[in-house]
Amino acid sequence: MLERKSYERRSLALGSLFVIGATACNGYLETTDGGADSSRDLGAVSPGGAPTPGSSDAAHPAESGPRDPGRVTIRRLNRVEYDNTVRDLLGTTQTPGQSTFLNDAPQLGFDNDADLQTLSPVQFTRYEQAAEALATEVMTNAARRAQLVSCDLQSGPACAAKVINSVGKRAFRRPLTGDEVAAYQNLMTAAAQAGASADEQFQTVLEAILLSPHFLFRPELDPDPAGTTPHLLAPYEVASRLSYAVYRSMPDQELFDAAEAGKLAEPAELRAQLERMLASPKNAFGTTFPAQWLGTSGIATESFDPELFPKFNPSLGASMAGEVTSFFGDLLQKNGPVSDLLTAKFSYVDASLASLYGIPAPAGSGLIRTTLSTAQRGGLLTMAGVLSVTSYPTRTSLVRRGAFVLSQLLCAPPPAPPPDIPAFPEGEITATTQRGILAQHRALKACAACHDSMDNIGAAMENYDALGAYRTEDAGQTIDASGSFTGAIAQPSGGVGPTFNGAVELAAAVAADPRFAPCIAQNVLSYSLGRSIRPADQPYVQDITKPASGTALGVRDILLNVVANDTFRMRHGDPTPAPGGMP
Amino acid sequence: MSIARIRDANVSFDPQALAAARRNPSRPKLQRRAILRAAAACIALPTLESLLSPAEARAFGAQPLRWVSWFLPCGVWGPSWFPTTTGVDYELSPTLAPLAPFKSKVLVFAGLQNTPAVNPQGSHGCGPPGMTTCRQGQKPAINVGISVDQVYAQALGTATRIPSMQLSVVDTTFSDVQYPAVYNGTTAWASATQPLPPVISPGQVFDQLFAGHAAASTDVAAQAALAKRRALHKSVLDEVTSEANALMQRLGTTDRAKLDEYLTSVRAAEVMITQSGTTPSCDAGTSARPADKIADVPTHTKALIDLMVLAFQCDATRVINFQQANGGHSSYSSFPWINLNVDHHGISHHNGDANKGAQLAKIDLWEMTNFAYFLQKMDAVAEGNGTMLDNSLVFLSNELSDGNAHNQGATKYTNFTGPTGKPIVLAGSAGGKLNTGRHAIYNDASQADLFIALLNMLDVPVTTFGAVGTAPLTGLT
Repeated sequence: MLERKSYERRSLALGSLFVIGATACNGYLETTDGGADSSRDLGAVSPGGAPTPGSSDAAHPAESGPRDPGRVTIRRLNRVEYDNTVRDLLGTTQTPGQSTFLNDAPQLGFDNDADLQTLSPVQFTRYEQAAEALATEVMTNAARRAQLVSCDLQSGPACAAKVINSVGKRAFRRPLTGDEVAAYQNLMTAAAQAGASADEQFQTVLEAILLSPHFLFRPELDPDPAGTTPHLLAPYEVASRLSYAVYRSMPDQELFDAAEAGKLAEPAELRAQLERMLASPKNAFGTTFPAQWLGTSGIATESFDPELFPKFNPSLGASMAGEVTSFFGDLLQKNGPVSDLLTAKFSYVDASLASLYGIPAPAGSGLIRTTLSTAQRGGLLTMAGVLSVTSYPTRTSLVRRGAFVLSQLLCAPPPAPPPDIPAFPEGEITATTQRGILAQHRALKACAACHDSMDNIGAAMENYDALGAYRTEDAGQTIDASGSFTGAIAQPSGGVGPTFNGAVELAAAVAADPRFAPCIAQNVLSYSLGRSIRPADQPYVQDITKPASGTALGVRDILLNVVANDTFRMRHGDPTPAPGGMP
Repeated sequence: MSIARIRDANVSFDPQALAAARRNPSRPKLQRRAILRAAAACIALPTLESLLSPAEARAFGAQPLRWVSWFLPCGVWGPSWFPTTTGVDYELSPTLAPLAPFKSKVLVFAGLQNTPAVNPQGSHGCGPPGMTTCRQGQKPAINVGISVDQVYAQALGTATRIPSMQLSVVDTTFSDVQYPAVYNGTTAWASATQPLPPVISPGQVFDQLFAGHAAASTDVAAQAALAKRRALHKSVLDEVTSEANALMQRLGTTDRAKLDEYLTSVRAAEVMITQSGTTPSCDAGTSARPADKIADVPTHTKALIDLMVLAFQCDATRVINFQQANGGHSSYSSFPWINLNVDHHGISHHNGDANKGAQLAKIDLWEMTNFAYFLQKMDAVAEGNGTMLDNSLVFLSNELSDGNAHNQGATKYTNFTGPTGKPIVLAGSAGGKLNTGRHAIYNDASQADLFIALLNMLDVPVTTFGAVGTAPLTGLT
C-alpha cells in the first residue's frame, strides 16, 4: 500500500472524515443507521440529517406530520464545564477537571455530546478527590467560607438549612426540595455523631453536593419519562441550557432570577438573555464552538516535519488556532453575515502569522484585527489553522481538504471507504504532484465516485502548503488550482456545478451554496443541545437559518434562532424500551 | 466467583457453574486475607516476600493469579517478529530477543487470528477494544463487548481493593471514521457500553494505590482521623446513592443507563473504603511518589511498569491493562530515544519496503525491551515456590498483525517464509498451568478461543468469548 493510500489522519477533532485516502468509494449518501436519533456524524451532523441533495428547495422543506423537538440524554459536566462550574459556585481557582479527570474529549466534533459520555470508577475517584479538595478549601479559606456560609453554623439547624438551601440551589441549578434539605441535615447529624465539628459537618454536606448526580449531571425531567408528547422545559432547565451553551458553566444570578420568576418560557426572553450573555466575559461560545466545529483546537500540539516546515512551533500553532476563534468571535459579536466566514477581507493576525502569510506585521502584540490587502487571503478556507489541520505532517492533502469542505461546511460528508480496497501495485502511480497523484488514482472507477467530489475541491486549495503558506509550485511544477463541484457528494444533481480557481473563488462558491447556512445551523444546534442532529430536526434547522432582521443571515442570528427554537425550549421522554430478557 | 453478575453478550459461562454462582453469589475465597492475617499487620512493600517464606506462602494455598493485557499499536514488522523455528528449541527472533532471560516462561504464537476485529475503515480507531474483546466496535453509539481482562476482574469481584487498573503512556485519542474516540484509547471494557479509560499520570496511579491509606502509620491520632474521615465519606456515598436511586425512578431508559454507570462507580468507591478500612493496606515502602507528568516516554513507561509490579505486590489489584500507546495515530510521531525520527503510524504503512520494515522493527524492539523490563521485575518477586511472573498470565498483542495490511491474521512478506499470524506473546503460566517455553504454531486458530482457554486457567468457567470464540484453544497445557 502506498503511503498516500492512507486511511488515517493524526489530528483529533475532525477525525472521521479525513480517513478517506486513495480508496474506493461506493454507496455514497446512503446511511446505515436508519436515521434514528442516535445518528451522529462528522461535525455533529448526520448524513441522514442533511438536506436531501437534489430534491431540496432549502427555503421550503417538505414537512409532513407534527414536528418533533426530540430529547437530549442526561448530560454530565465535561472537564471544562466542571472547572467553570466549581469556579462560579465556590470561587475556587482549582481546575481538577482539566488537571486530573480522565480524557472525555474530544468525541467526534463536540465535547458535550451526552450520548458519547461515559463514566468509569476511576473517573469517580477523581470526583471524590476533587470534592474533598474543593470542600476543604472552602472551609479552610476564610474569604471563600464567608461567601458561602452567611450565619453561625453552630447556632443550630436553622442556619444549616439556610446555607444548604443557598449552596444547593446554585449547585443543582434549581431549588432543593424539602426532602433534599432534610437529607443533608440528617447527614450533618450523622457526621456529628461520628465526632465531626460543625464545620466538618457542613464540609461533609458540601462533598455530598459535589458528588451528587444532581450536580455532576444535568437532569431534565419529563412528566412521563417514556412519553413522546413534547413539553416545555422547566425554567431552571432552560437557564442551564442557556448557561452551558454560552458560558460552559452554571447559570449566573440573572438567569437564576429569571427562572425563579418563571420568565424563560418565551423566545423573546431567551433571545434577550442570550444577547446579555454574549456580552459577558464568561462567553465561551465564540471560542469553543468554532474550534470544535473546525477542529482547530489542537493545532499547537500537532507535529510537522521540522525539515520541511521549520517555521512551525507550538506558539505559531496557538496563533493559528487563535486567528480562527478571534475571527469567528468578531463575526459573532457584530452579527456579520455568515458568508463573511468564508469571504471576509479581514482577519486577526500577529507577527508570526503575518510572516507565514507574507503580509506586513501588524502594529502591537498579539492577534490584531487586520484588513487583508492580499488577494491570497480571506475567510476561513485561507487560514493557516484550517489549512494545517487538513494536511499531513509532510504534505498537503487534497482529499482531507475536500472532505473538510464537504463535511464541515456543506454537511455532505463523504462516506467511509468500503472494505476490501485493493492496494495499488508498485509503480502504478507515476505523478509527483498531489494533484497528479490523485488524478491517476481517480482512474480507478470505484474511487472516482467520491474522490471526484473531494479532490476537485481540495485541488483549489493547493496554493497553500501544509502550514498554510502560499506557494505556486508543488514538486517543481506550477500548481493548477482549478476545481469544481463535481461528483455525487459535491454536486448531487449531477453534472459539473460551480467552477473556481483557487481557494478564494472556492470559498465564494461554498458561501453561495444553499447547503452552507443550514450546515452551520446544524452544527450550532448540535453544540447548543449536546446531541446529534436527526432527520426530524430539518424543519427546525430551516427556521434557524431565517435572518432575525434584514435580509442577510448573520452569525449571531443563528445562535439567537437556536435558543428561540422549539428544540431548545422543548423536549419529550424516552420511548426506548428497557433492556430485558436477561435472567 | 461472581460471574453471576456478568451479563454481556460477549461472553458466556458453563451453565452449571453459572447456576451455582447465582445460588451463592458470595465473595470468592480470598487467600490473600489469610496471608495478610498471617502477616498480622501492615506490609511495607520491600519486605513483602521476607514476611512470608515460600513454605509459609504455600501453607496458605495457591498464590493469587494475575492477568495483564499489554497493548501495542500499529502492527509489527513480521519478518523480524516471528521466529523461524518452532517448538521448545526455537530460536528467538530479533524483535523478541529481549525475552531471552525468560525464554522458558514465555509462549510465542504463530498461526492465530483475530478476524472479528478486522475493520478496514476504523482499524486504529477500534484497535484497542478489538484486541481485548475480539469484536468490532459499533457506531455511532458506543457498543463493543466486555474485554477479557474485565471478565476475570468481575469474576474476582471484590477480592482486591481495586478490581482492575488501566494505564497508558499516551493520553491522545482520535475518532476514526466516526467511531467514538474512546475506542481509540481503551482496551478495558467493563461492558459493551462501559469503557474503562486508562490513567496516564504515574503520580495519579501511585495515589490510586496508596493515597489515604495510612494503615502503616503507628500514629494513633492519624489512625483515628483516618477512621473518622472514612466514616464521613461512607455516609456521603450512602447519601448520593440514595439520591441517584430516587432520580433513577424519574428517568427514561437511556438516562437510566448513564446513571447506572454512576451507581456502579459509587459502589466501587464503597468497596475501596470498606476494604481499606478492614484489611491492612500496603504502603509505598521506600518508593517515592512519581511525578504527575513525565515528558520522557521511556521514563514514563518505566514508572508505570514499576507501579504495576507494586500494585501486584500489594495485591491491590490482580488485573491490569497496559497500553504502550493508543491506537494508530495516537502513538509516537518520533522516537528520539532510539535515534529514530519517524512517525510510528506512518512507518507502519511500509508498503513491503524492507528499509521501512527495519525502522518499524526498531520500534517493535524498543517496545519488547519495555515488556522484558516488566517481566524481569515480575520474575524478581518470589512468591510461593515460584515468582510473581509464574503466578500470572501476561497477554501481549497488537491492534493489528501488520500495519500496512491492516489485517488480524497471517501476513505475506517478500523474502520471509516463516509462519506469521496475529503477533501474540504470553508470559507466566498461571501457576504452572500454561506450558511455556515454546513457539507454538496454529493453523488460523482464533484468539478468542485462546482467551477462553486462558480464562479457564484462571478458574473462570467461560465457554464462549467474542464474536467467534466457541471452545478453549487446545495444546496449551
